[in-house]
Amino acid sequence: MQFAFVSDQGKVRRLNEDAGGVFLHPQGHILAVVADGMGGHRAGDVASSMAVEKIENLWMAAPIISKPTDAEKWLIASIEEINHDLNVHAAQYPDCEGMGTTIVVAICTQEFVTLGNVGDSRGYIVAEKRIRQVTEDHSFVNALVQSGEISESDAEHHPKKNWLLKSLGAKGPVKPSITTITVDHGNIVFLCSDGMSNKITEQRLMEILLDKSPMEERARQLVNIANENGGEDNITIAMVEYLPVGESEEIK
Amino acid sequence: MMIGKRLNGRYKILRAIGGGGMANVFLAHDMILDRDVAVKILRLDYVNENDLMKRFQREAQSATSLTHPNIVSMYDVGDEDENYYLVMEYVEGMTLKEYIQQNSPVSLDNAIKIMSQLTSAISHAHHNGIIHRDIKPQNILVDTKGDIKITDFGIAMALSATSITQTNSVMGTVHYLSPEQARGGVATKKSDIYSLGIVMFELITGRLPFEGESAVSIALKHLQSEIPPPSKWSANLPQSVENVILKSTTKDAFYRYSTVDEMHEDLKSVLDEDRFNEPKFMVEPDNDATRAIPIIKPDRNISSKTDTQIRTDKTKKAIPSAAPPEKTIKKEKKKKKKWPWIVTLVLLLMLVGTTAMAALGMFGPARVAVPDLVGESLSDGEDILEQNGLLLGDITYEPNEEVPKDVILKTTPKATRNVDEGEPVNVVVSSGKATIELDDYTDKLYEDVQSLIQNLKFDNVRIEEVFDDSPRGTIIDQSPEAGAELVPSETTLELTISQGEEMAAVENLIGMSPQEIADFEARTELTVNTTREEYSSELPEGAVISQDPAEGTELSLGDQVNVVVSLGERPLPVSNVVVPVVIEYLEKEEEAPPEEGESPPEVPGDPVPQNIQIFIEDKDNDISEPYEEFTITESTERTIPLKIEPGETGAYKVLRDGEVILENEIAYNENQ
Repeated sequence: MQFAFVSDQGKVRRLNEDAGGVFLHPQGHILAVVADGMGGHRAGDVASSMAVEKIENLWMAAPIISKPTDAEKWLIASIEEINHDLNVHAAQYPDCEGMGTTIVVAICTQEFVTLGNVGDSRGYIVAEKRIRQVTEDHSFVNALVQSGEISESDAEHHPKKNWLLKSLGAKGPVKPSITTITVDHGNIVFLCSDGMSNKITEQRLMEILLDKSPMEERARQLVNIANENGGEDNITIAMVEYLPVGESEEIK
Repeated sequence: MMIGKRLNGRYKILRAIGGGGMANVFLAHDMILDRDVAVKILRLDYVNENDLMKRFQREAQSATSLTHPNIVSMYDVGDEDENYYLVMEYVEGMTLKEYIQQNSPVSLDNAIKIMSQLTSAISHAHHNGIIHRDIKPQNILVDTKGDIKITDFGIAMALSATSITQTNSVMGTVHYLSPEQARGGVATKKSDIYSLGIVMFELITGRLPFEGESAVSIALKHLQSEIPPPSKWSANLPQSVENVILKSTTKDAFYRYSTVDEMHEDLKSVLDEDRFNEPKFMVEPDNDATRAIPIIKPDRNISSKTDTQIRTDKTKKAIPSAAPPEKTIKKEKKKKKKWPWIVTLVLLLMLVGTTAMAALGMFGPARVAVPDLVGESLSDGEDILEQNGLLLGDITYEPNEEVPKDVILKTTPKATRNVDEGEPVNVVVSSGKATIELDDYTDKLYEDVQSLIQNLKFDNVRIEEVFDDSPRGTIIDQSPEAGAELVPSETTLELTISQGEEMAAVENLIGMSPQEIADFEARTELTVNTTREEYSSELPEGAVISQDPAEGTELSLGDQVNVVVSLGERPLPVSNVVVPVVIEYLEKEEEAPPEEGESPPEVPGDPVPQNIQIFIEDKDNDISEPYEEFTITESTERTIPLKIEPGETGAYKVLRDGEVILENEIAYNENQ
């Protein structure tokens, strides 16, 4: 497996409220995370970076995960713990009141990938020259699309596109959406904030991901595309690539 | 942290009075106009502030044009540091949400009074081309007299214009969101009518029409379910009142009041007893059948025209149905006779046969895709719609900086969406660049209108300052003239501003020589007037010692500066010396030597007078001329006065019978 992570402020915002990273467990599994902070009072970056830091610490101390149920349980518990920490922090610091963040996490093992998310940061998988969004956006417009009330293209231009149904840091318990998929050689797990997913079609995204150029270069190219298309939001991507058969399986 | 701060030196923040999300509201005091105001501060973290501010202000400014007793006045828009703020009228009281919670159930009379004020205010806004987009009791204030004031006009638009809404946020309330807004369509005047209907529902029943576990389930109910009749919770509710709510909250905007004015009019008589039992407002549940008419073409053009007729007859409370009679019998009553052609159609339908009927029932009307009209002219767009079996619906004009006038910007539903044939497609059409009517700025102080002018974003504002007897900063002239219709971004506004009377600053004149003073006079057109001359040990003769007024004072041209001029070093005084002298009388013995025994001396004989001359050398006298001449016969005391000038030496000599008997020089001594 090899991985890449890029976070870019974009062209309009003064602050990068996104955070994320890719963390290699001593046992060899990889955890990738992207968090998109929110909050009107500059606390968005606090929320997202707290979330990432927390999950990194939990991950590095996590017991070895060997089956999907372990991964799912660990992920649900960890996300709940982050939510709790954010609430405690917001209660202590009035400046952070109302802060929140989305999160999308992928635990990548050689056999499977378990993804968990809250909010509208997305996880995609590229397999067999097809791309598929494997996370469910917790957004108002997505709920309307799911209910059949509006089309995908209506959702793209909906004025309330920014309304999230769930976020970390909101009061009360939060239930992440969790999925596990099997992976194979040559697959790519791709996580991003909406600053990326709003700026590219799935088709184009896949084309670039499957490009033969070095991973960092592909990641940088994607960020450039988002910026060329306005760059109104922060752009963050984390990707993990399972090397094709025949290539070395050691972690780069 | 904001408390106590002064925004742009003018608005002193006193205390927080509300807020959340992207904005905080504070009570503040306007130090210039000495009044309390509400200041809404938005925190925006964007790099390109100018662009953002331009768009934000343009939208917010449109709301400041609204003046209505039931609309919170917007006074000012500005920014300081990273705080973008709106200054609004401060209304003491509570939100309508709190009012309903405390006073529920609100009496019918009071509810209608509140609704009348609301519709009056919204009507005023609509007539000015402004759609609120976010009417909810949280945005409506009730003052201490019980009158209502709507706030946050155009803020929704201003915020979306700044693309601030692109940032993620928690769900807002969906209870008052019209179905078309929930679907992401363009908010229209009818969307405001829907929200007003929900507010009225809440006023009368004390509850909201839909409750659900989540915001999404509530939004879906607004999209899918009819508003439950408010009479369910409010017994004895006059039908006329319920009808207002039902008519303003139909799913399909077409069936709502066509204007808020119409709703306002309706509210006026809604409490007349003879209306209490009027028929319940109904939208035909199966009006699809009506719209299905085009399918049964023999002649498509004719049928679509008929359809137009139906859709545009907005005075109808309900639309008659062409569906099978058994479904509609109870509602048809009087309407059938108005639409005799429907009978024909129904008959025609029957002729087609029951199988066809079933098929129609199953498949419904034909579905057509909305064509892409963006970029088409309005008239072309209408033609294209007609060719596709669709109708032109509401036309909303929206200023646009790039797209020329009369070109379609947007349609609802959007292109490629499938809709029933015969459906109206609403269009948003560019009204070209936004024009404004230029205000009259003359006789106003530039600093008072500066922010207004800046907000309009003229291509260029050229300012010429001239001297004038009007107060400094007054705008004396403007071009273009007031009342001109223009596009600010294409206009250079020229202002002539008074600098006040021409003034010259007094310089430091002290030490100036007469020549320098003359230069100063020439340079400044001020007159220097010497009021006095004084000796000065420091300044040379002719130099200015002191001045009035002081350096830096602004004087009108021609004014005088009074100065005291040096006479130079004070001269030392003439020393007046008085020298006492004793002029001795000389006894002449040899002239009369007394002979011994022979003749006794002729004593007392008359003494011989001796001639005395006094010469003086001083300021007034020359030693070459006798100062005084007299004779003595005995020793005499005299005083010789000398006036000795500084640096000079005085002298005197006394001659007795031509012989110098006293002579002295006396040096100047200033102490004498």
